[in-house]
Amino acid sequence: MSLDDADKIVPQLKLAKMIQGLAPADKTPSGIILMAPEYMKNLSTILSGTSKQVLLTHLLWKQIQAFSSYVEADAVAPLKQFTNELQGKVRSNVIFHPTSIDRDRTQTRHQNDGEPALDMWTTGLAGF
Amino acid sequence: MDEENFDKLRAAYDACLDEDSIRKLGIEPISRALNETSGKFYEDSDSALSNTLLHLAKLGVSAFVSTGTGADDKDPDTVVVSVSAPYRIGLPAKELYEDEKVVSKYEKVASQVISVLYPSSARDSSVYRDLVEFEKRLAAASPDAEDRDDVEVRSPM
Repeated sequence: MSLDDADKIVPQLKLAKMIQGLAPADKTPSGIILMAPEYMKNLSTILSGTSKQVLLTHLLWKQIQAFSSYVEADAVAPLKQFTNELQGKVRSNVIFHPTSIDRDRTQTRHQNDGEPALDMWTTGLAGF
Repeated sequence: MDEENFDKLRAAYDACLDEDSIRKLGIEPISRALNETSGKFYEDSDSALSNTLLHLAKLGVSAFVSTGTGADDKDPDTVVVSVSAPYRIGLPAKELYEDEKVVSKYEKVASQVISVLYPSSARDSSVYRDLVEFEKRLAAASPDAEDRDDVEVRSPM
């Protein structure tokens, strides 16, 4: 699918501009694969029916969830606890205190898995 | 070269384990990052949302869509760019949005954490309920886990 056609499906996101912003300066993708076309169409409808404040709150919440493991503060404790509960690690009436062993495990996982999107982009598109 | 890489790895590892420094910094770095995001979002421009998503994507945070690259199924020497539904709307699985106990807890956690890290959101407490309802709609619209990466449902190049 051409970038322009993808743009028309979810115009609010300006996908062509986003993709170009992520690609290396000297590369222009000739087209993209747009997965889940039904979701994309629904996304456009959902976005236009949602207030800016809620959209921003969602984006900030995504950012918080992505980086909370790097933060040591009481403020993020409810999120860390909730995440562990969902993973079935801890009973809900036990307070979770992160220890050095957990930081070591987390850091090893971060270094093994790497930071996602950017590395994939720069190595992937360099192959064009 | 190996020594450079090793030093880099060690520095990153030591930084992560330097709990005292990390605790001293507290929420300041992430609050600053959130303010940067909201700054881009509120720019007076048609591209504000798009620019904000681009900014987040560069940080490794996918929202609304997930972008990536890979080898073309039909021609492995060609790199293709794909845009798909996000792997995760918020809760780890879309089905969890149908569990009212989980959703209610999730909303409470979101309000507790966001109101401290980004205080201006707390001005209107109904935003957290709206946030969860919004994510429910996204979850309902998103493909099931097993269909997510299904080649058959993708739009042709």
